[in-house]
Amino acid sequence: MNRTLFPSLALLVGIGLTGRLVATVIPVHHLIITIALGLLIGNLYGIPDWAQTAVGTHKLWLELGIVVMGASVALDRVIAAGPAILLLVVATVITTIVVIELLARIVFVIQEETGSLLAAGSSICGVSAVVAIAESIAADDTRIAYAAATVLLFDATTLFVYPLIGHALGLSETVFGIWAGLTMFSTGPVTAAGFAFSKTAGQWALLVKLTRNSLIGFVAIVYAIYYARTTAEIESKSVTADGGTAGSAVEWRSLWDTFPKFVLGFLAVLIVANLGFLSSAQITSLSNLSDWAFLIAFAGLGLEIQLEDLRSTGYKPVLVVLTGLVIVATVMLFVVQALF
Amino acid sequence: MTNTDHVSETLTQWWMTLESGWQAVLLGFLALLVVSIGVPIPW
Repeated sequence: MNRTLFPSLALLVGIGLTGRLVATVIPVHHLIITIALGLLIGNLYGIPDWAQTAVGTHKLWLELGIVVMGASVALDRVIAAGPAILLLVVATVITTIVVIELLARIVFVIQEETGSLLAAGSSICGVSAVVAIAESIAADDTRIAYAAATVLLFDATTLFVYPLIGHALGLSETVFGIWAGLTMFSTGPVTAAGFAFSKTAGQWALLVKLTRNSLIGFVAIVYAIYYARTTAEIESKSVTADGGTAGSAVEWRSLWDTFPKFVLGFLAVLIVANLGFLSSAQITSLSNLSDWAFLIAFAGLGLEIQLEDLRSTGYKPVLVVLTGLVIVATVMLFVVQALF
Repeated sequence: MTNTDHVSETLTQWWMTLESGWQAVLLGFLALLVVSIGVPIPW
């Protein structure tokens, strides 16, 4: 435990509390204001060295918030909606991958690996998916940085735009939560946008998003098989008849390695709470803890968004993701509204 | 180095080797433990 952790955590808490205070004056959810404040401070003044320690832990706070949030989620609601949600998640992931790959290869003609990284980032869980898929297809660092910056640009935009669209269209809490969970990219912005709309919307958004995140291993394996086969085909054409080459062995272990472990914690806490082991006061305490963890996480998330990095995206990848997002989000909005 | 220092260092090193997802799970269960023995969390 580093000596600079506590002062730097105090900075995050300070930004979060300021966000909460500002939210009492202007009608915007405190998590959105907290991210905006973090973004403003991080880009105007930079992150001081002593604050780097806590900023680097924002993912842990987000995951902790999600784990204990499990106590506030009603299991019967999850079971009732489970099959439909699972089908919707699988359909959305497949549709997003196909749409982004087609746009990248046929319409905007960008480099194949970059297209695949964008498809993974858009369909599963943002930058974590970009990194996981990059490992399974052995993409080079420049393409990873390019794809990650594009995904981050959309994370930073959609977290503000989605709640506005939701309110403008008068969506119900359930529809908004499921829609945001299905179509937005990284877990942090999905959580912020969901809870900015309402607590119920936030819980739905998280449930759907966690289901989506759980598919990361499967998508990584599919991409690994595809790229291993493509590489093997290219190599087999260039060698003599007896010099055949074996494609890279797909590591099924990556299913577990890439699986987001905090989802297990979320499920376990959800089950413990729903079996009646916790009183309503204890569930309220855990819900408060979850709120505090999100507050710290989003202050850190805002501080970490560097607008300079987002400028490094090219216009073609941005157009690919923008077109894909508009198509998938529109279609899924109609589907979710018809079903829920 | 005292025994306490040694234990503290070993624990810190072990903690740093965990994925953040596992850290979140452990902290979550620590929270669960705290509220289940009746110690209220402030705020």
